[in-house]
Order: sequence, then structure tokens, then C-alpha cells
Amino acid sequence: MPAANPRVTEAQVWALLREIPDPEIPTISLVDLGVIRKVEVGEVIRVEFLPTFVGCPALDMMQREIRAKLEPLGPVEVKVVYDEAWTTERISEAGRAKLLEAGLAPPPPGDLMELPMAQAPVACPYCGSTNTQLENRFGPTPCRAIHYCNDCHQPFEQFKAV
Amino acid sequence: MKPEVQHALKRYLLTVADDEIVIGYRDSEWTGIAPIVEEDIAFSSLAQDEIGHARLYYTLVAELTGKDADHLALLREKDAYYHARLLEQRATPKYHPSGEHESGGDWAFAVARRFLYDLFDDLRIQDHTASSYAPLAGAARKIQREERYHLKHGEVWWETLATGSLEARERLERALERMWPDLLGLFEAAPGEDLLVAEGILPRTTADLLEPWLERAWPYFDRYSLPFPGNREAQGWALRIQAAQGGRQGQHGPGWDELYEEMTMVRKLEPEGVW
Repeated sequence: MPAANPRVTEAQVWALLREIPDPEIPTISLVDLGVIRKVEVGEVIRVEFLPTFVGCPALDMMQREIRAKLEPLGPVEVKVVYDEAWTTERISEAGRAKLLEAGLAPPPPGDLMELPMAQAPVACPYCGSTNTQLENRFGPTPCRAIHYCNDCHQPFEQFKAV
Repeated sequence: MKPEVQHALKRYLLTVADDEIVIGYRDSEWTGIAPIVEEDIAFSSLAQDEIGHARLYYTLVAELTGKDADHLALLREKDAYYHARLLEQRATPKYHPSGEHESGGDWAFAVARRFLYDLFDDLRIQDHTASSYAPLAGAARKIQREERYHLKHGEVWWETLATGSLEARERLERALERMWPDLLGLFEAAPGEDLLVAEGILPRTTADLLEPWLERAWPYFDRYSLPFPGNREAQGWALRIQAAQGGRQGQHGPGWDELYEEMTMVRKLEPEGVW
């Protein structure tokens, strides 16, 4: 494989990564999700990746997409790293706003390990009411919980704190 | 790393991975038939998490041995799996392609096993976060966050069954009575754990987790006046039950005969298959 084009910059790589949507919540990019820890451009483009949930079935798909996106620039190496835990604190402000826009309540701020498990009611992403209740700590994907709004009678999902 | 330490670490990680994949498989059998739809989703998610954790532990072994994680998970010999025997038992009714199903299966057993195993697993993960082996400590810090949801889920169901209808309560008591010897089998150490403790890879052996686990589990029995087969005495806990061991040596029961066939069937049909 040819070495990466010497003119490739880190900023260029980040810009391309910003175009890759999360496979399960396509409204948010992998960069906004905070799963890209580090980008290094040398002979090889190295991307360090923090998985959201260990058993996330989209993990392999995300790595394939990163590779496919960056390969036109040169050889790519995606490394899944566990020395730091991805937490929902890594979701950017823009990412949180995009989640809300898509009808997904963003995770509560703060570190999960310090958050009480009986958390305050989550604001409904549709009407803003906090007259809501937790229906299920587990949802259609590992990262989502299900709530119900007692005011607009809409079930909704939340990106849960991890 | 010295070869004997590496060998012991590999064996220990396989033990942990096997626990996780086996309970993950067994719990996944509730998908579609859990008592309520929300629980169907929850139990499936718990199962998925555990299989994910197993994959991560197998990957750690793969990094030590050069063998591939899928191979480790699905292509070992039947007696080279080291999970505790508690985890291999089927808790669901058995379904046949004809649509018939055999009676049996018990949600109370599944829920109690899940919760009491999670209390054990949480202690083990906490120990892993203090490991001098950085890949294990990193994996543990990640897994620990997911397990918070498992523990909360278990607590809610424990209370629901313990304080629910007469039938729920009776089923829980019967399930507990049945599982105690196997529950204690969780605390059988893998060979070589002493060496791992000496090297700082583990702060204590799996056997040493029994006392803290009893301390942790006891309040859940006491709060709901559930029978507990032991007494706290000055020197520690005195138990009236003998542990059923052997799982950590690869000795298993009929539940494993059945599950092993099922788990490995697809992979054996097409060992080179990629998906």
C-alpha cells in the first residue's frame, strides 16, 4: 500500500470522520459521539476508537466505515482501545442538541458511577415536560432507555448515562 | 511476563469469559418468551451485554496467545470450558420445532441466578480494576459501568418476587434452595490464581470473594426474610451447604451437553465462515 499522501492533515481526517453517522443513531456523527479518541497522520493514518458499549453490535461496522472513509487518503489503522472508558460525558454539546432534535433525550450530565440510579425525571424531547416516567432501563439498543411522557402521552427514548 | 504467569492469566481470563458467554447464552433464551414485553427487551439486553463482555475477555486471551477470539469462544473442546455449573442450566421451557414445548422453565430461577451472579461478578470486576495487568484493568473499568444497570435490574426483580404473589415467593424460595450448592461453585478458583495474586494481577483469588459476597447478598435475604443457609459467626460465615464444584476444571452437567451443542453448531458447520 502506498504511504499516506504527505499533504494529508489531521484536520482533513477529522473533517471526514465528522461525515460518518452513528449506524444506530444516524443523526449524530462518530465525532460528536466522542468515540474517536485520537488521530495521527504519518506513514499510516492511525485512529484510536473508544467503543460505546462493549457488546455493541455496530462496533465492527463503525470500524469498517472509518476505514472505508479514510482509505482514499492512504493506509488506515483503526485501533479499538479500552485503557480509557468511553462515557456519555464524551458526547459533544452539538451532539446532545442533535439527539434532542431527533427525539432522543440526551444522557444526564455527570459521571454514571456517581449518579443515583433513581434519577430525576427526564424531560420529554417532544413537549419538554418533566412529568415523565422510566418504563425500562433497557431499550432497542444497549445505549437507550425507554421513558413515557404523562403529558403528551408519547413514549420516548433516552441515551442513557454510561 | 513469565510463561507460567501468562499461562495462569490465560486460564483465568478464559474462566471469566466462559462464565459470561454461558450466562449470556442462557439468558438470551428468554428473548420472545419473557413474562412481559419490557422484560423481554431488558433480559435480551443483559444477555447481549454479557456476550459482549465475553468477547472482550476472549480478545484479551487472543492477545496473549495469538488465537482468534471466535475460535476461543466457539471451537474449543467441550471439557475445556471453565464456567461455573450454575450458569449452564437451562431456565426456559424447551421448545421443539413442532411448536410443542416441554414443561419446566422458571423465571424465578433465571432472575435469582442473574442477580446473585451479578453480585459475584461485580466484586470480581472491582478486583480487576485494581489489576497490574493494564488491559484487564481497562476492560474492567468499562464493563463496570454497564453492570450498574444489571444490578439495579436484579434488585427490582428480587424485590418483586420476594414481595409478590404467594406463587412468586414460593418459586423464588424453591429456586434458591435448588441453586445454593451451584452458587457456591462460583467461588471455585481457577488453577494458578495464587500465582496471579503474587504478581499483582489479581488482588485476591476467586475463593476469597466468598466472604464479601455473603456479606453483600445477606441483606437481600434478610430484608425479605428469605431462608439463608448460613450464620455469621465470630470467625466468619458458617454455611450449611456444600459447594458443587468442578466447573472451573471443565467438569459439567447435562445442561452443558445441551448448550455446547447448540452454541457451537453454526460455527462447526462452517468453521471458516465470516459474517
